[in-house]
Amino acid sequence: MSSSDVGPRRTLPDRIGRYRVVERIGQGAMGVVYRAEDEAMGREVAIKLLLADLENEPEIRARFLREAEAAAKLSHPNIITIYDVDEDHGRVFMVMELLRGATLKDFLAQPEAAPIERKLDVMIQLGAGLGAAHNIGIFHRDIKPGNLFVRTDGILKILDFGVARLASSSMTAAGFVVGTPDFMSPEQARGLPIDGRSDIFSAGGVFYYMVTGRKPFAAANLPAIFRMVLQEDPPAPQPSEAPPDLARIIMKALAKDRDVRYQNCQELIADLNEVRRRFPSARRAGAPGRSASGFDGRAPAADPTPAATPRPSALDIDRTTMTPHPISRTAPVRQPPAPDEAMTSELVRPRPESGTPPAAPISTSEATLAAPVPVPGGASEASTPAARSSGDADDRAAAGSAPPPAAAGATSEGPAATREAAPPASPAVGRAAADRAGAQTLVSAPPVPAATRRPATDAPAAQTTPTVSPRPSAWTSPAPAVRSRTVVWGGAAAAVLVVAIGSMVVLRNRHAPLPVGAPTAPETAAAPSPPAATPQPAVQPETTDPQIAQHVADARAAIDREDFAGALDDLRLVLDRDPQHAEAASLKRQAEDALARMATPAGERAKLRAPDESAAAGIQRLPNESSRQYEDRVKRVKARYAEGRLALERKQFGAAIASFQAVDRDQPNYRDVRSLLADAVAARSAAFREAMDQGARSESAEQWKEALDAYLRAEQYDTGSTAAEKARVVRERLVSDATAALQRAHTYQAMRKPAEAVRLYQQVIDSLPEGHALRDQALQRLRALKP
Amino acid sequence: MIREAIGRRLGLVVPAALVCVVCGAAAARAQFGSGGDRGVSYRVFKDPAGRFEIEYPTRDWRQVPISGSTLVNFARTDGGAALSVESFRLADTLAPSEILTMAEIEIQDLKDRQSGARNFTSEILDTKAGRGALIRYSRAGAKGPDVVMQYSIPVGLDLYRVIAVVPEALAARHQPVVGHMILSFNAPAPGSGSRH
Repeated sequence: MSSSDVGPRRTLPDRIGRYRVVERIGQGAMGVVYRAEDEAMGREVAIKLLLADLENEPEIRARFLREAEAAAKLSHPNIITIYDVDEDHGRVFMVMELLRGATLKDFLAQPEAAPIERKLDVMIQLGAGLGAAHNIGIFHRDIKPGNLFVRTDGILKILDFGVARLASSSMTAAGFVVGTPDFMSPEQARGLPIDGRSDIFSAGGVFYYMVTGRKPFAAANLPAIFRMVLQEDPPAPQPSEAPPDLARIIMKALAKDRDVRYQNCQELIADLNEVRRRFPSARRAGAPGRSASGFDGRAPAADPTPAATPRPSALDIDRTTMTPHPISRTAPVRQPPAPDEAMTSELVRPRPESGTPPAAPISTSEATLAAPVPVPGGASEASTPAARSSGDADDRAAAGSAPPPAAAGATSEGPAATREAAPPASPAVGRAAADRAGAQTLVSAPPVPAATRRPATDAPAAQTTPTVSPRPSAWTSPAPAVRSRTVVWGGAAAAVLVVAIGSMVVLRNRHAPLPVGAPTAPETAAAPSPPAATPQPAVQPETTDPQIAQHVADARAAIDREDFAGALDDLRLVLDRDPQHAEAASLKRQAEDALARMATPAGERAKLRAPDESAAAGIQRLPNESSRQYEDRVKRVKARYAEGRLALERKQFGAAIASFQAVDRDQPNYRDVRSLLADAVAARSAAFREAMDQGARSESAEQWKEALDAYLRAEQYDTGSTAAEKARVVRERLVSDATAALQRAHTYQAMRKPAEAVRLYQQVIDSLPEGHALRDQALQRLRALKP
Repeated sequence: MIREAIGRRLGLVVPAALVCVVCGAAAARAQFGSGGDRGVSYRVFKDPAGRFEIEYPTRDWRQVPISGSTLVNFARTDGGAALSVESFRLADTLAPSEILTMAEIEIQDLKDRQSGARNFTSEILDTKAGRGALIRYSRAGAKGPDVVMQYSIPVGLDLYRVIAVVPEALAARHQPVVGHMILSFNAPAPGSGSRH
């Protein structure tokens, strides 16, 4: 049977080319997807067959083939594999791997997607897949949850390279906007040339959606979305939704200026890995509230009105997810797209399928899914309920749900005219209502004053205080505008007051310490309008940090006993933590001056000529010792003693012991040298034991590099050969592993698996010390792999 | 002293490796049911581009059209078994010592692409074409479980994959034939008669 039977969309062909069709699993605007059997190869595949009525559309056909071309160039675990592209009776079809799992959106609704670590894994995989595409000059251009698929084994696959563009290609470069506006980059929305940073922006949008459950740019109609994409930063994810580090990564990826964004996926992955690695501590830091909502991952799936539901706080999130949202009772959220929106879509995205984003083609209830098919949001999609239930179809319905009252106005004004349309008075109901009402005031809407725009950094605060955050509607009612100005000026005055008081406090801290009880009239007089209820203390204490106070006291004592080097060490610690510490600075100058004087032979000799002073230091002149010899010995003893103390403090026990032993030889029982010597010996033994234990623990965990480091550390404390022998064995193991990894990396590289090769080369580089031949070899190959 | 030690080790390792290879090949032939294809006559298929040649039975088998990266397809006329040869361009040549890792990668790829596949085994197999990896696994086919044998062998910058699919129920009957076909695969190394 031939594919000529395929004409009607509902008819199941027996064969397409050499493939036996098993069932139809989805349909989109461009084609139908079938599950089929490659009998020659004995494997199941997914076949995307271009619709018969589109065969004569050169652009569609070109896009179809471009998807195949783009994906076929890619061989990466996180990108869907294209097996073949062929024609059967003039009908183009594409043979792809058959996937089982769920689209990202459906995946997020599952309990196993809840942990933030799991989401980070998915994010890293997305970065890896995109990075692989970018490395060979392919940009996806339509990254969104509906185009991302998580297999049952957790592997993420990037689908639908239908709008992907080769860097060398001129297709789609003629100013057409291609992609899904919800996750589109500003430069893509403007129709400008794009590069990999555009996909990074879209990935940032997907990350945002993953952690918050909200699209970064959600509005009731397409022009409003475009306006937000071009002008507004989304509110940063709250700590209850994502660790602050992850939130920063997401917001950096979503930067409007592409030069501010991550410049490549490697940078993005590195930061995500860093968060992934540090996450447990980040999670502890913000535990309250997190367990109740955000990190448990309930938010993304449970929020029925992502576009209209800001999350005021962790507690409110719980309420939102546990009780029906008011808007679901008072206003219909999901309505068919209005004609004007469709028209706008057509204007912006001229291709037939481009106005509506693709949906996941296969029912996720069966946990079976094949390659992506763009599904029209209209009638054809309605005929495939399985497809409609997943992917972006719902997103699209939500985004385009509000009835647009002033269709012509909205369309003619374009995105710019819709900016800041009627901000709501109530954050929950208001945004959707405002988006609906905003269109009524579009034509007469004045440009938004910069001060009333909502900066991204204000967003979290605004969300946590919903009674304050609603912006005044300057175009619908003058009274709220007046109230708004009052609030703004009041806030500004309060801010000035706070800044003034803060400056005063800082200036006081920078002053030299005054004696307790000293008059502070100039300072109090200079303070602007000091609040009567909170009088400033007469004297600011130098510091309240007990450690700093202890170091200062130690430094004083050290200076008293002429241990200027020791004093300087203490003072450096203080000044590192508090550079403005006046007493520390003064003592430091004193100690430095003293050391400088001692370094002067004349000064030193003059000092040593005073027998009382030397005697006080505990160094007695020997009967047959010349004056010069005595001076040299005193100098040597003092220097070695100071060196020993410094070494002991720095845990350089060997050096400390040597110094103290030298001191004791030159001047037995000099000060507390024997006590210090005993301390150093004991500390060295303890450090040795600790390092050896650490080495053994690392070794048993097969953390060879850590084990080697520990044994090398132990070797410093070891007078025998135990640590050295252990270090030698571990080093051999490291080299052996590195050799094997290097060879494996070459095999992966030869088999065109660059990601794994890079990982292995990096492993070799990380495991060996600088200068090692194997490490250099790995570096060289890595550079060749990643020019 | 050291040289002696190395010599002793090599003296042990090299024969052991040879034994393993020979045993592996013998085991593979045994798995194919060596001798089970007595009475079957073969003809040689020569790749028009001269890259490889492979024998296939003169009766009950036919060539089927190819597409994509497949170089040749053979299938039994009754649909009972099929064998195809694919090629993949390597980024660099592989040394014999890399065959094991290559097999790992191949298996991982197969697992990635066929989530239902299971019971993977692999072994080193030397054929006329040189040293490669024979990977066996089973998977659900259209008419019941299938046994798949994939012989992956790097030749210069080409990685050839000879893939045979036999229904499990007919494995005993058809394996000797497809085994013969796999073992007959030959691809002269570019520029020389020797390999690796």
